[in-house]
Amino acid sequence: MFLLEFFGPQHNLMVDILRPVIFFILSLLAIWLINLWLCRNLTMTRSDTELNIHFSWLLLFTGYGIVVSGFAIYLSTLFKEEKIESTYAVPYLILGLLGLGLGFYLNRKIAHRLSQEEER
Amino acid sequence: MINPALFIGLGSTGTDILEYLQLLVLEEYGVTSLPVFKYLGIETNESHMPKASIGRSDVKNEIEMIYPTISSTLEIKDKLLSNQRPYLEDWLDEAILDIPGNSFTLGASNIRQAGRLCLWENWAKVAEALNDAKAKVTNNANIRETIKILREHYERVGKKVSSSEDLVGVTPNIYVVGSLCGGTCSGMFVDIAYYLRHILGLWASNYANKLSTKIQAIFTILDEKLLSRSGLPDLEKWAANCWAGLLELDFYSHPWSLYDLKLPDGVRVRSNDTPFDYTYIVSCSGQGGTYWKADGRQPDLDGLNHMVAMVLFTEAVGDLYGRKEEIRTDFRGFTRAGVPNQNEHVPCLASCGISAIWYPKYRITLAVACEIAEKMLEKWQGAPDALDQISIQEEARQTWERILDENMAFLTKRPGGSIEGGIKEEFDKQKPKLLTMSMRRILEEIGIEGMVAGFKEGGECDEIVSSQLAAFKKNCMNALREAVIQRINRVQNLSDVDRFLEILDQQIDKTVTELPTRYPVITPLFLDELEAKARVDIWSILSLRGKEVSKEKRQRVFNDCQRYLTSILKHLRGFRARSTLFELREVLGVGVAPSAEAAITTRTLKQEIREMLIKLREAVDKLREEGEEAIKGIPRQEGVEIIANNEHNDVEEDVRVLKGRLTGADARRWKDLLIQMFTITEGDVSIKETLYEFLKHNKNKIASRITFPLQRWALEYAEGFNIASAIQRRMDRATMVLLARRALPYMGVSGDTVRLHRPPDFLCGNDEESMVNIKALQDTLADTSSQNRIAFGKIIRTPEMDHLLIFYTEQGLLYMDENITTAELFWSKYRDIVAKDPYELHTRKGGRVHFDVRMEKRRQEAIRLVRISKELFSKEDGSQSDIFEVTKEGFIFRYVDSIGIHAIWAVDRQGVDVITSDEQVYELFKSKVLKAIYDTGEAKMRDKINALIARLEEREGQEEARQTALYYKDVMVNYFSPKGG
Repeated sequence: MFLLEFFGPQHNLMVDILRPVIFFILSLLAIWLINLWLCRNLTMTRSDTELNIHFSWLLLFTGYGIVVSGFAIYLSTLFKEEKIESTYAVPYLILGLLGLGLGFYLNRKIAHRLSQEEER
Repeated sequence: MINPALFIGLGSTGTDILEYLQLLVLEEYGVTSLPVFKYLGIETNESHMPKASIGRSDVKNEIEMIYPTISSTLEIKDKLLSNQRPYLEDWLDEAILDIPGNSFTLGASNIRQAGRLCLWENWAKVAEALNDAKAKVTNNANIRETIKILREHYERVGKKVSSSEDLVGVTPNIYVVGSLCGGTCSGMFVDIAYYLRHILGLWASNYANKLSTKIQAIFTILDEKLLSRSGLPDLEKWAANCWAGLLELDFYSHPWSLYDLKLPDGVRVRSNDTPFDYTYIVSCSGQGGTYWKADGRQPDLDGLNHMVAMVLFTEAVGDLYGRKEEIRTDFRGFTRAGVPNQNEHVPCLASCGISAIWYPKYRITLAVACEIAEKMLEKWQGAPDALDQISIQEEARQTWERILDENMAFLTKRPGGSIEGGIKEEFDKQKPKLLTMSMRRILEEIGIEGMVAGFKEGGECDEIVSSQLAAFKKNCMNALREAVIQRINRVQNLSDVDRFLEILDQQIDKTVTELPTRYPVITPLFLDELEAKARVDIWSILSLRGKEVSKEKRQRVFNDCQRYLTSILKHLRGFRARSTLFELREVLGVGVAPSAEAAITTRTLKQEIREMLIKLREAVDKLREEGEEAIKGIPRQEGVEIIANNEHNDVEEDVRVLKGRLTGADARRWKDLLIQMFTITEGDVSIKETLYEFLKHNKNKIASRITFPLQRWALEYAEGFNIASAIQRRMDRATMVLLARRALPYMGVSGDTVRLHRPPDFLCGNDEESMVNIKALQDTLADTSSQNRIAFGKIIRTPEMDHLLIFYTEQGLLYMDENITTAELFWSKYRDIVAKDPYELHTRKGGRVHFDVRMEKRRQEAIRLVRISKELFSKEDGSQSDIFEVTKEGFIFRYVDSIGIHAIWAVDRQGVDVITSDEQVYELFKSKVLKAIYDTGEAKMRDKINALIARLEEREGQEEARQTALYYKDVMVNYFSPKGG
């Protein structure tokens, strides 16, 4: 019920618009902070710092994308049960898909690098 | 000491004897001849070819054969008619020119005149060969060469020879051998003997030479058994030939006889010297043994020839020349020597016999050496099935990698360093600036674009690499060769090295396959692009690690550039090296055969190894053959008893025992032996060879380099075997006596023969200094308590011939008529042939009369009587004579010959031969003249002579008168001294 209260429609355009934006900014901030920690501790390769960074971004964005997309789907199901318009869950779904998109991009980037390394 | 010697074999028997002699020399020295020896065979039978090899297939027969044959006697007949052969007219019986077939190419048909004719018709050829032979045996260079060979031989057999020891004498001796039965030897020996005297200046008057070089002859003749046999068609002719030959030899040995001939080349030889200094005659039957085959039906001529060869060997080679010469000198000094008997024969003949006990130590030690050497060579060959494949593979791989690494770097070398070194240097120089300067700037300073351009095909780098290819190939070849040689020397197994080569080839092939087949594609490096690659992306910036990432990226780009350049260089180098490495396989010759041109000039390593393996295989075969031949091929001859150093008298047991002792010797001894095998000594310099160098020699050299030290070592163990002692322990006395008696002369001798104070026989062999064993043997053989005994007058210690115990006897000063038991048989056959044979038996037409000293004496006496008759008992104007009848045509002498025919001798027109050929006529004339002399009396004869001298002085001068006075002084002494009267 907390979720409905917190993410349900407030019928206030400002609130309904700002909430996902704040959610997005906050999650980005969280991701960035985790990344700062993670890219210093995750050593997928010893010598290639950039690759380690990319990998940590990949992990975070992919994780974020999966979690947020799941959350958006769950939210829309919840909204549907409560007869609330599921459009309110779409921003979160977009955020989740964005995370997955970035993860996919980083994955390609890493794969490219690795193939380059291999060639070398 | 060995003296230079010329051995001349006349006819088939002569050449056979020389072959046996070579066999004996081969046994002793391992070679059939020495540079100071010359074997010359003179044979009229073109089909009688001497064996190509002696003893072993690889040992050449050293006889120089001369075939003086006549292809057409009709041609000679024509030449005689046209006066182109004046020198033949004196002696040739023209009947032989009409012989059926009209040629003498397959022997002299048992006609002595034919033998002589063959010689004279081919005089230039024979004379040249004799002169060449003389040059060879008197050549100082050959003497030096012989000394060298002997030193090597003694070194091999472990005999210590001091440097001052005279190994070779300077005086050559000449030996003429043959059979008097046929036509060749019997017909030509006299001319050859006198020609040899002529070319060597060996005349009695030439004392200096007379005392040195000796010409000796050994002739075989028929024995009693053969002479008594009937049914053999040629037997009578052989017997007659023998006797005619002996008669001529006897004649020319007589002090009254004169050899006076103008030879075909115009040389005139006039001498009353004997043809030979010493002549031996031997037959198949001796006084103590015979050379007849076991069935007793066939004479063992090979055995007899072998015995003659042994006589020559012991004299010319075996250092017994001095001993035998002592015997001969004693005979020569005997009062009977040279004194004719009542039949005017001289004791110019001798006979001898020899037998021996032989311990074949050279053969035994050679067999041992061969067997051990065979095993060594087999080890060097190796067995392909027993190789450690894994270790060979690993070592080959490592070797190739090392060679490749060392030499690939060489391809990019340039003055002052290498290309990759230059790249590294440039990059290292810029490295510190990596964090402070822009990437573009750094790469610009390195000049990376120029560098890349330099890698283009035909560019600077390509040129450098291409120019080094030849040297690269050479270095690789050398390195490969060196690796193979090292492996040969280290593992000493050619099968291993062969496999090693195969794997090396596979490795090279693998490398070649991995190398680029195209020139590298050079992608230009764009500085903007490189700079972009070094830029930091947003993700790194967001992660607050931009600086770190930037450093890494710049470093990476920097390294990538360097790596790119290096990889291009490697690619380029690999591409260029590919074909060269492929060519390198041609050097190995395993998987790739060399081109036709290269195959002519160079040999591949595989070929070398294969050749070495073939060589080793051949050497093993040779050693096996040699080793087997050494024992199984021990010649067994009558008169030579083989003894071994064990109780079973088994030579093969000796080989086994000796082999065991050698193989069981300590490691230090073997090490010394291997050093000897691998060391070459030239003068004072010794060079130690590696196995590879050693295997480069030919198979014979390889075999001999191994067997020589082994044999010498084996000989050390074989030393000390005392034959004289061993036979006394092992042989019963009867057998010993039987063997010793085989040394009695091979000629039946009867009548009054000379026995020297010091008997002309000896027993020689090696023994302790005190000669205790030989003395004991001598005593045993001469045991007076036994009827079957033989006494040897002298014992001689011959340490240099420790493998032979020799029994030798000799009987000299034999008259052909008095002392040869078969003389009557010979005479009878001789007379038969003279009476019925269509061809002249002697070498001069007219026959025996020319070789009868009594006839010669009679002739000279007749000449003297005619002179006395004319000068003292006839008037100078021919108007009156007390001896002759005076006619218008001059003095004549009427007589009735032995047949009763009344005849006339025209004294002035006919020679004295008219009366000397008929004894009765001669005696008639002689008695008439002597009657006149003695009727005249000494005082009146003196007056007559003085009147003649006075007349001559007045008319012819003092010199003529003086000569006449001297002549008649002899006459007076002869007829009126108590002795002459």
